Amino acid sequence: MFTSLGILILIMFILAFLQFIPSIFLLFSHYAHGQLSRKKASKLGYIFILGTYLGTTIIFLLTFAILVWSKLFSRISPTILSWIFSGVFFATSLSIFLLYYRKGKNTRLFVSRKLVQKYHVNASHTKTPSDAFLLGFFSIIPELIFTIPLFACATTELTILQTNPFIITLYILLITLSAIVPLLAIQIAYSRHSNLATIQRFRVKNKSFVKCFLSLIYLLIASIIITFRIIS
Amino acid sequence: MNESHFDPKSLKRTLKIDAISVGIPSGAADDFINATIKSVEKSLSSKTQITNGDLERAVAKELQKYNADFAYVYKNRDKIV
Repeated sequence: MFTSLGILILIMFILAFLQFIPSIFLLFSHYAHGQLSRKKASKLGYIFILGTYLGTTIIFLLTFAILVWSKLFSRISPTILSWIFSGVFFATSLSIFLLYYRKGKNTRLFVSRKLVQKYHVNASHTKTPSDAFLLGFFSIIPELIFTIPLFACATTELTILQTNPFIITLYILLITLSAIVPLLAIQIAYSRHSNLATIQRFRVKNKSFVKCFLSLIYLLIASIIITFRIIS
Repeated sequence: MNESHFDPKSLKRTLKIDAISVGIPSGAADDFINATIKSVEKSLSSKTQITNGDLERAVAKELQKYNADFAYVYKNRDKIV
């Protein structure tokens, strides 16, 4: 039980430290505060966060449903499944350490520049609640490469931990809350009259820490899986 | 080398959004932006070819005189994601 809880908590940390959605939200907040009233920009910010939360929750629930109902995991031996997860997380740990951020004194991520440009343009033109919701909702897409393996691992841990579907849903809602923690932090910063410059300087200063922390957490999850799911 | 077609109207619009967002009052923002554009036009008038880099450096240098956050946002807006 403690192993499963530990892995779920580490997954929550990863979701809280991924950087694509907070970057888009920061850009969106900058343009919203520059073009709209403070009250309206703040309201749109919360709607963006709601879109992100719902999108992340839907992806997690879909991943859970597909894996459990297809009985995919029950067809694979637990040891092989554990090796697959630990292998994926070791590889992700290394990739994040080497490739997550591009070089330079900035927070550019290793994402296609054309895609980033599209999100940037959308963020600059978002002025209505529906646009804000959709921007938040679809911002989760580039991070699916990280979130889907995490959700798949979380699914196995949840099925070990709990059988009651209602309680599993509550766990899922709680885990996906961690994805919006950085967005809430940015929203609070803006409500205290901070701006893109101060927040971005903070992000650039702590870029190495974020990269190392994410890499370490992935490594830790892989190590826990090997220790407690394979060796023991 | 990317040659730039310097469009003061488009630059004004972008700078106004940046200025309001970093908390500069609207009136002061207009003054800063007009002074910046005047200075940039003057400093780049001697050049036959203006690259995007030339324009960005000239604008950032002028903005730095008025507000450090304003200049930072202008220089780094494309380096967030």
